[in-house]
Amino acid sequence: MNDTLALNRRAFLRAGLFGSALLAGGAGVASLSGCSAAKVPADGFLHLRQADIELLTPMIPVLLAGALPNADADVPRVLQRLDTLLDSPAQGGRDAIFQLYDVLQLGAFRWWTMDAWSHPGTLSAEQIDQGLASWSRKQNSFARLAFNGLCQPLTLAWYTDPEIAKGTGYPGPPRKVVA
Amino acid sequence: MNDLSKLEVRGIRDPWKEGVAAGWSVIDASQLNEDRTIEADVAIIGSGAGGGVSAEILSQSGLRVVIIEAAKLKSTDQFNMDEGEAYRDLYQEGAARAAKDGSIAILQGRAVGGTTVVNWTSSFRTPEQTLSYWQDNFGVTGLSRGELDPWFEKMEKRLRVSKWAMPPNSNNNALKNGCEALGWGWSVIPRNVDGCWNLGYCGTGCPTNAKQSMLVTTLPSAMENGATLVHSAEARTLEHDGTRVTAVVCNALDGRRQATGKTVRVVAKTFVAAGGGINTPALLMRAGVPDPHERLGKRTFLHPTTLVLGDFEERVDGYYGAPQSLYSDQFTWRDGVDGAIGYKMEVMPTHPGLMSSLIGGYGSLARTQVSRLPHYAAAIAMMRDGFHDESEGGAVELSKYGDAVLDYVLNDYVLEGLRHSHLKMAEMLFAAGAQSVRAGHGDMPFMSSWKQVKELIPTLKYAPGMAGCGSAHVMGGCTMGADESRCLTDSDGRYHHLENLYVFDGSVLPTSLGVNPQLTIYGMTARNATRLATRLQA
Repeated sequence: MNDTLALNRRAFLRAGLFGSALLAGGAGVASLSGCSAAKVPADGFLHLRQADIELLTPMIPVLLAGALPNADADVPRVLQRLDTLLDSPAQGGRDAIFQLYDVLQLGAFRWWTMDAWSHPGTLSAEQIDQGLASWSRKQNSFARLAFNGLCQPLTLAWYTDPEIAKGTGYPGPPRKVVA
Repeated sequence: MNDLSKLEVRGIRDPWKEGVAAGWSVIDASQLNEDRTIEADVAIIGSGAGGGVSAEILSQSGLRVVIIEAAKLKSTDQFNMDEGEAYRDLYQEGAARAAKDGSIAILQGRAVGGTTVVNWTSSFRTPEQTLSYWQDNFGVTGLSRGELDPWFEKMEKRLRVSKWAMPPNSNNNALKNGCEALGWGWSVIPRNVDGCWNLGYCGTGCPTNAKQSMLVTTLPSAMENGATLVHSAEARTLEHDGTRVTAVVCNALDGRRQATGKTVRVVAKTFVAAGGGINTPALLMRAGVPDPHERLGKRTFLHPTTLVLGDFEERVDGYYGAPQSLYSDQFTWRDGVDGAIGYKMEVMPTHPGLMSSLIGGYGSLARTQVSRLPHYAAAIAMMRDGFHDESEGGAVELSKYGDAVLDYVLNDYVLEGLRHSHLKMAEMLFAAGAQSVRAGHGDMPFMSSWKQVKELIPTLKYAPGMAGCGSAHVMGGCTMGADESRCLTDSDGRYHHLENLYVFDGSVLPTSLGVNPQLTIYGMTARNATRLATRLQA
């Protein structure tokens, strides 16, 4: 675990308006996490890979609790909106987001941030919630930048959906009528 | 309840649709099937505040001008006030630009018209203190306030700048009420609008043409004067021999901003770099222009900006109405010009995408907070960075792909300002009548009394990723001034080490400004482009 943490600390973080992510230097986390072969986008996605989808699918209902009108049935739409959002950053910035997803495949990283070695797919929603709560309170700059990197892109992707935006009490914009 | 969603915006003309139909010379590089070379007297790289004003002035003097813009042309008919579409199409990196370590989100425009298409219209003359600081510390000449005032006046007339005469929206009014209750100063913001509908969608591209951005003012004027616009063309490098530039080479970009493989090469006698902070230094770095003292990209400033939310019992509807109409300079010079970092206070609009991501957090707590959106006033403070030895700003670097990355570290000097501004804005919002207040810090909940907040904030850890920080103003990276060991352009914007390259954008600013930057860039560019036109005609 110490080697992994050293690698993590050496890494850079990068966050957009919608996020931050991890630039793991050197050897690359993908090879450590055994997913170097899975660099291709999943079917129907521009960027998200199957491993990312499996990682995020159990986390989204917790991360966006209360904001999914159709509960788990909304998760595919969240993933599609996230995927579209990730099409805009410069390549270097997008790499950073995916390095965050890669490092989240590491048990050691999850243990450090979420107090749980296990993949989120094997955890209950309650366990994920507890893990995120722990992560969100860490008094460590690096951990918090990574936490923001996980949450913010999803939040922005979801709340820029005009229908979801109305759920905040925002009535919506005027209607533009082009002659 | 204030509800503009039933309002229809119709009967608005699109100057670009009409202009193209009337024969304006517009090249959409995304559609090119082969490489192309274009000749010009002046190539202007970028179409924002600097590029737009340059294009109008230089084309008026009879020069053949080609304007190069990385963004795809998007104009009034397409400005539908959809937040997500606007971030994707009108902002750098889809609004995902950030400092390298992830600690500062950077909202910077990427449009035909640049950031002027999406800014919130605040139009201030450069503070005298800032201009004096440049003169004393960088050897900037000819840019005293007295010398610049005629140029500001000219651009204020051109862009219809005047103090906002309508009542402020409730978001701005909270700033006024708080300041008045505390005996702090406040004033009305001059805005560059003509016939503003007071809708609140300046940030998604003005749907009514009221905002006098470059898209509807100087650029159409330049097109009428015979200029050519090449859009969807990203300037990647300059051809030069170490003394003169001969061409700018651009990649054509498709609708997803990917290079199509085709290039546009603009051969010209004179080049104006006007890509703005971050992008102009990055272009010059990719081009390998002479930079003997390794100053390119250094001293890039951001006005690091903090946010405090006040939750009011009544609806604020901060997404509607002119987004910025009042400000306070109570703490802008709180420790003089070059002491502890000062900050200007304004408010920001509360559209749900941006605001929910700034609220941050996750799960049911985040949802509870987001659900109070219509009740929030959102006060912001922008730190005046660059006036102190411990405020050297950030440095632009190139990623392995050749794209710009800004390494800007929130150090203790800046973090002290973040904490100070959180306290003062919280105090202001309570004084304005907020029932609870939360500063933009990940460890701060909404709290219902000023006493609680006053006790908590000094105990919080202020570090990157913990205290929220953003930026909407990128300045510097090609510092102007006489001292060639520290500066890259002279006070007229001419690059010290290449005889026909000029930098007319916010990247020449030696420090941040202490005010929203658009009018500074308009005024200085009007001066420098006029001088350039005279020189080129001689």
